[in-house]
Amino acid sequence: MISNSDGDVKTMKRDVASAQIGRALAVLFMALGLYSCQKVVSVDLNQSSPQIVIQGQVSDQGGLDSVIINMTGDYFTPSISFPPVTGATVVISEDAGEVDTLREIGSGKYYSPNPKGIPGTTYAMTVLANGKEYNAVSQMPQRVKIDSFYATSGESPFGRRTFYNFTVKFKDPPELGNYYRIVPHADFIPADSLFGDNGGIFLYDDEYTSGNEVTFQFRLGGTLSRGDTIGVDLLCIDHATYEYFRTLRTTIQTDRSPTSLAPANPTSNINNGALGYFSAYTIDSRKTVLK
Amino acid sequence: MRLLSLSLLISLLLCLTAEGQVRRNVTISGTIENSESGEVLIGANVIVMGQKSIGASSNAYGFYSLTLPEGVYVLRVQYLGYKPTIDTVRLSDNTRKNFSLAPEPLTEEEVVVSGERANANVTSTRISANDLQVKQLKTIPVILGEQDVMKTIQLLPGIMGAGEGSTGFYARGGGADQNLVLLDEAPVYNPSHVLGYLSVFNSDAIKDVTVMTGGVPAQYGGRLSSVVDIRTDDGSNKTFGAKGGIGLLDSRLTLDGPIVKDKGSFIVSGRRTYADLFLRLSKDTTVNRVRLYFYDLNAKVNYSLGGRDRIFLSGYFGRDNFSYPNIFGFNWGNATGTLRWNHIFGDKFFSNTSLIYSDYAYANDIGASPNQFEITSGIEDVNLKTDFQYFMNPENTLQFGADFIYHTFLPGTITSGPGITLNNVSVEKKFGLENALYVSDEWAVLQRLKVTYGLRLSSFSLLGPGSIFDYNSDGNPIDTLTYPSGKFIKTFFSLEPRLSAVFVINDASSIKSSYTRTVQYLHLLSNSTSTNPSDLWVPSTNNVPPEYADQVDLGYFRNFSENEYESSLVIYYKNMQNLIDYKNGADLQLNPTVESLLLFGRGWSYGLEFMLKKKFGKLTGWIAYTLSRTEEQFAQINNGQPFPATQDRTHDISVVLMYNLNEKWNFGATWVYYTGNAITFPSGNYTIGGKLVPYYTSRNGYRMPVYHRLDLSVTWNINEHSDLNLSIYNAYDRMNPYAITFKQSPNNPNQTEAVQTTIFPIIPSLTYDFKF
Repeated sequence: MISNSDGDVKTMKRDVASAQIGRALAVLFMALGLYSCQKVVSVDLNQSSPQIVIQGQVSDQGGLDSVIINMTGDYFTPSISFPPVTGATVVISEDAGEVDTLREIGSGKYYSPNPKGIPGTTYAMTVLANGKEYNAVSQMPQRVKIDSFYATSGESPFGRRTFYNFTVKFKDPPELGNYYRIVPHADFIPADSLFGDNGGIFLYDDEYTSGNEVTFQFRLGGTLSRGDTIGVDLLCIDHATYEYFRTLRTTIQTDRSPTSLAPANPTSNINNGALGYFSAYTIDSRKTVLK
Repeated sequence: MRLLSLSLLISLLLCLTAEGQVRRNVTISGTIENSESGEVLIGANVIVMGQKSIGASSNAYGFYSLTLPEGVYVLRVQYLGYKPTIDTVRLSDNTRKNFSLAPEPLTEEEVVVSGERANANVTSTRISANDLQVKQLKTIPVILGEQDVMKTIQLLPGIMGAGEGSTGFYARGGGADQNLVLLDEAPVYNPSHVLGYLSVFNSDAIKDVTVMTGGVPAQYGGRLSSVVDIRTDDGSNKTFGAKGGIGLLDSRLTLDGPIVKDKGSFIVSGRRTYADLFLRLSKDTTVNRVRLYFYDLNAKVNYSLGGRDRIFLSGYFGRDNFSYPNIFGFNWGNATGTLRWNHIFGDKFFSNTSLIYSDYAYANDIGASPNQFEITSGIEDVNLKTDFQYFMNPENTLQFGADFIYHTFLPGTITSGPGITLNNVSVEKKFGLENALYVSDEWAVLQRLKVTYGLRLSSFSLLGPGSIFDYNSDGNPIDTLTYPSGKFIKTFFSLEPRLSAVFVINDASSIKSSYTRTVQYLHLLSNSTSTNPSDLWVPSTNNVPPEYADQVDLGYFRNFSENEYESSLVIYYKNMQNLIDYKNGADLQLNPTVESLLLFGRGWSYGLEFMLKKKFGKLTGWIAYTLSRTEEQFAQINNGQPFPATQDRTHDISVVLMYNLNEKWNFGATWVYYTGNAITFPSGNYTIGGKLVPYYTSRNGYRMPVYHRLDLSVTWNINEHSDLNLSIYNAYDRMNPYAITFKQSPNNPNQTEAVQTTIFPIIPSLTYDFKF
């Protein structure tokens, strides 16, 4: 079994290079009686010309296919919503030839009532907006079901504080090349949130554990207490989606060291310079009540 | 070879025409050493009085050879920081003569015969090279009480520190991995301790450091941008001695003495930090098991077998260890060993043959037993090299040699405890053979024109056993070829011409120029723009081409006040090919297909370097100013447009002053100022699933704020056996930015703010040194 809070060997490797070195340095500086200090400074950032952001998805549980389109905003301007892209033509087609044109329901939000997506099918998204065409394809992987999901409580070795350790178990199919996104959600976290504000981005790939019974563990931030219901979605995603979320995780990392490599935008599977992703995925959900 | 015989012919002709008749040439040769310890002196000058253009200087083993027509000569032997010796010799036959010079403080003005003070910086073909005698730099202020040559060299023009407190550096826009760092000829792959804040070189054991950023002679190769050649002390072959120091961070002890008086000596030098010893006193059972230390050990013996042979055996061993019980542990270190044999054939022919071993290993443990796992990586070299120096005639000194290195690359293995079911992952070892042959001639073409021209033929072969992947355009392996042991999988050859020339205008001024091509077959993969212990050295393969650099430089050298002041103004242009960057989010560790994550591009750097140096008197030191620009271009980065390299710093100023008030008190000050590094900041924002994501538009499109800092030191020589040094790092407490990060404002979650972190405010430190 893998006993790490992030559950992911690759994440642990990254930790070694960043957080743990940071931790070691902190110990060193404490030992030397040194300290570091922080202050808020003003940085002049260029006004960038806004870029289109497309988030598209197709699920095997049907319901609604959705594509959300908006533009980037100014970095320091407080913004809750970003300028939506209205009046776009959004089409999702499958390799069997069925073509589905999405309707704009809210501004910048495009939906289609759609039969369930079929694992193994390749879906293509075409967006015509602001005079440009954007394309992406995504293949829906085979579904993997959650075998069990439960929470255990423990004490943090650093903070001496009670925390909950969540465990998701599932059986990885024998062939190599399965990718997963684990999306926790709770009653107090808005249901439409893709990963939950406290959840971070949990990913798993079977490079080191192909065909094994996988035990994935994670922790959540926020204040959790007895009686709370926590849910988890296990999403089987294709490699391009995995790459998108893996690089997204690097992009949103805030505790960057000055010697870190230059940050970049996540690797999108949409062409023509659009930000965002298009993903066809399967989903399986479970819930647990904290004890 | 044709060029060579041509030069021979021309010099012969010149000789004939100059003299009108042929007088028999005879050779005087020998070693130049410190009269008190018997240590050989590197780069001491032998000058023929009255014929300033004729002379010789001692090589890295203290050997000199000077060929002159028969006759009576007055020779002056001099070396900075030593009393010059003047001797009259009658040369009618080849003669062996050793010189001993007594050390003297720089403050005691040399007995100067007008115009005879060394002006080698003007007359030699060396351009963009600096020699540091570490022990003369003792009054340079230090951080944490630890003198460090890797930080001192950052104060030279063209060399930029890799960051606050870091021992890593960039030479003329080159990467932190493009520096060949040699310790007694052995390459040191990760010359840093404590995550880069201190170098592995214990100054107590170092004799001489030569730094070259341009005009690198043909005998050096393997890295693109610079050579840092560090030579350790031999130890006294006359008396036993002990010296050491007690500092804030660590303590040092060095012992030396004769094995057989005047024949052989030994030196052993060690240091260790003790922060963790305090942690052990803690009652907390977790804290007192925290490990946090490094240590170094240098040892060397040398022995003269008769007058013609000398054998040296030296070794370095150092290790860093950090661990937090049951959570993580990592340790890394270098081990090097060098066995050298100097042999003098006749009076004109010096040879050195070295057998060198160098090993760098890194290990990282994560988790608690039985669920722990360990990641290890490293590189190991076995190296045989031989160098010959032939002092052919007064006009030509020939150097040639061969270099064979067998590399073993350990890109990483993961081993897990019994509690973990991980598929075993091991990125297979790689093997490489790096060979070179070189020849170089230092030729005095005319009295005023000297040329050092050479050629290095280098090769690199990737050897089996091993598997080679073929990648498609998406970076996915489409084919694997497996090779048996000993099979040459891929071989690269390169010709590296090296040329430098000086035209002497007069005794005090000259113009120099050089062209060098350098090739680098080994590449450092790093998830940092600086260097980390976990960085991986990887070989050139069919997927990773060698890196190339071509550099030209041109300089004006001018001395003032009887060579008391030296100044130089050098401009350079360097073009680099096959530089490495990474695909977005590249995971470099333990990745068998890591080569598919690499991007290859080009870079170029140009600049102007000014240096004014005062070498004698109560006040010594230098001012160095570099104005430069460094850019890179990769097809897949920044839409293929050129962008400033991280290490692109427009202005870089270093001022170093050392003032020797009297025998009791010495003062030192350094001031550095440089333009902030180029950095990538976001230019916009958007959300993905409710999560705020920064939007980046151009690579390195922003600048960190300007960096500047003053350091001060005062040394009190309590008596001849001990001194006390107080250093103040960052004396005016400048809050230099170490990092700027963007965070959600604590007051308004929808507002992002920029937060600057400073790691080294004003830091005083005290060091006590002793010597017996």
